[in-house]
Order: sequence, then structure tokens, then C-alpha cells
Amino acid sequence: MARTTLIVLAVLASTGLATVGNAAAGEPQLALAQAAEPATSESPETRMNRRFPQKVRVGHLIGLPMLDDNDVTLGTVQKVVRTPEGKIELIVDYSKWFGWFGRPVAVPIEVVAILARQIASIDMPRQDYETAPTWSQGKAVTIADDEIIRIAVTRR
Amino acid sequence: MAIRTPSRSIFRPRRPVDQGILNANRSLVETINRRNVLRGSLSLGALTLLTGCNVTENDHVQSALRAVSAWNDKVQSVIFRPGHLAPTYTEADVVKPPRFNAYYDIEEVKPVDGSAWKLELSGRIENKKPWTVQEIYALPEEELIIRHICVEGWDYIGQWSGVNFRAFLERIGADISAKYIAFHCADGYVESLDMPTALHPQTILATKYAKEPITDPFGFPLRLRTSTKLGFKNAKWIVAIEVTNSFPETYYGKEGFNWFSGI
Repeated sequence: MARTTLIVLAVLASTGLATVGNAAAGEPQLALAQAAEPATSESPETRMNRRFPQKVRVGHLIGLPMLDDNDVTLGTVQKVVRTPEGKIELIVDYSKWFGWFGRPVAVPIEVVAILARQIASIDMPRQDYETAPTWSQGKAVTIADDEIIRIAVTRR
Repeated sequence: MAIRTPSRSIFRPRRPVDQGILNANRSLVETINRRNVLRGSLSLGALTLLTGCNVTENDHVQSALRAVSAWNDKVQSVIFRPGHLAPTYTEADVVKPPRFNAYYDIEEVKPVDGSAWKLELSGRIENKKPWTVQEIYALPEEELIIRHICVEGWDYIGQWSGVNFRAFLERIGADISAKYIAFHCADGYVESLDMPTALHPQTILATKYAKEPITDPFGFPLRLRTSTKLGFKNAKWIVAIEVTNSFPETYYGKEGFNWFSGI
């Protein structure tokens, strides 16, 4: 443990790198590149409901960064829409080039959780953003900023 | 223009630090525990300046880190000003919902049954009658819009309401000359405060967030809210309060965290 701490401090002192990721309290170590949880038989709605969804004003979500499992930004929320089926989706300008050459990707509200001023894409890994179709408005209706919806919470 | 070479600092070590440790343990670097890093405040460079400190010996390094960390904590307690107020903010700055954190994941939160909940009191208190949710909610409220700062490095502006803690202690006849207040929580978490912090004007027992009752993940029905401590000192889901002169061991104290943890 002390040796690990020494190495970490040496890296920070020599490179000036900021620490990344939040370790879970009480757990001895947490790998930076943690693999996504394998899919379970639970529906996305069930998983969301186990994460104590809280009220949130839609306007608060606009502009928030969407983070992957490594706390790397996938994109920012551009708008929140309701599909003709009644599902709520966050439209994220996904980019893997530091915000350049982004394209809109629809992210179901059930697969994310909020971290105050960031959103964690906890059930939609980065590779799913890569393969997701480019979103277009179609019959989806943009939800007004003042509307209150529910979003799951999580911790890092 | 000629480039001037900086003069050699008198504080620079005469011998460079052995970087071999980094190469030999590169894989360990990838399993950085950020919380453990934030516990230590000593840089590698500063370590080498300590007389007799061999940075390749784990015991020496650990002792030095703990000593500096404990020193920092002690200094914080000495410079604490009981009447000095933390900055406050406006409702426009408040984040809704607040950020969740605990020593376990959100799915493991076990909501407290408010109808069965009672706040138990013990220790150096005259009136140890337990309090119900309704009785706590009926107490005069104060509102705080302050910054929550987590030891992990994140923060947010939150809006909490509840009874002023000093007023509550006086109401129950607590011995405010005692040294410590211990908070026992429904999830087994234990935290404690020094009495000066407990009596600080911006310490409350919070029942509301953003003017609505605190919800399950954030400590329903009762949590502590201070303006002068790191986030983990603000116990949630409180079920018992003890006033004591015996130092109460805390959950994160056992993990090696500093106890005073002032901000």
C-alpha cells in the first residue's frame, strides 16, 4: 500500500497529471479501466428504479457532460426528447476527437445516472456510442427546459 | 537572447530520486486508488528531504505520510474559528438533485422507515427522550446554501434546511462543554464532530434539501450538515446522537482518514 502510494505521488510530482477517477470508499483499489458489467436479465427500467431516480429539471441536463466508465467525456447533452413511444432520450453529441466531428446519439434515460453536474453512462458503454445510429428528430418531441423528469443517481 | 540556467535551489536534493521504483512497479500505477492518494499530502521530492527517510522502505514512507497528514489535521483544528462563517450562495447556484455518495453503491441503499424511526440520545444529555420524525420536523428551521466538498475532489452547492444543531443540543440539555458528538447511522456508519464544530452557527440537523424533505439516498429522515467539514463528516440516516468525552472511533477513521477534516 505504501509503495503504491509512493509510486503514485512520484508520477504526480513528475508529470503534473491530475488524478483521475474516484475510488470507492472502503475498497482497497479500483482499476482505472474497469470493464462494463455484463448484461443482466433485468430491464433498463428495473435497473433505473433500483438507483433511486430523483426529480430533475430538464434544463439542468442541457450542456452536462456524459461520462464513460473511465470518466472520459463522451459528449454533452444537447437536448432531451420524448419518442412517440413515450420514452425519454438524452441527445448527446458523441465525439471521440475532443469534441470535434461529433454526431448526435440518442441515450435512453434508463441507462444513465446523474452526478450533480455530470452524467454517467453506466449501462451504455463507449462502444455502444460508436455503433449507435446518428440521431435525427423525426417524430420525437423536444422536452421543454422547465419540465421535471426523473433520473437515476449513482456514485463514482 | 541567452537562456539563463536557473541557479541551483538550496532545497534540491543532492542526489536524484531513484526512478527505478516506477519502472519496477508500473503495473501498480494503473491501480491508483484516488482516495488513498488524497489521504497523503507529501510529495516524493519533499520526502527525500526528510532526515533519515529512506523512500524505498515502506515503513518510513508510511510513517512520514501519516505524520504529515496528522500534522495538517492538527493545524486545521488549531486555526478553526468558531464564529467564522463559510461563504453562502443563492438558490440559482443550487444543484438539484445533489450528488450521492456513500461507502457502498446506490443500489445498496436501504431506506429508513420514517414511521418507525426514532432519534435516540445518549451520553452527557439531561433529556434523553427519543425524537420522532414529526417532532424533529416541527422544530424551527434554518436554511443553509453552502458548498459541499468531498475528499474525492468534487463539490457542489447545496441547499439544506433543518434545526440549528447548537439550539437542538441546548434544548435537550446536552453538556456543551463535552469534547465530542458521535453520530450513529442506520447503515452502520459512525461519524463524530468536535464540540466547537457542533456549536458552529452553520451546523444543522438537516431534514430538507431545496425546500423538500430529504429523499432516501441523501439521508432521510435526518442528516448532519456542516459548512466547515469535508463531505464524509456529514453523517446521513442518523439514528442516534451521543455527547461524550471519550473519542468516538469513526468509519473512515479506521480507514486511515483524518478525523478533524476541516475545510
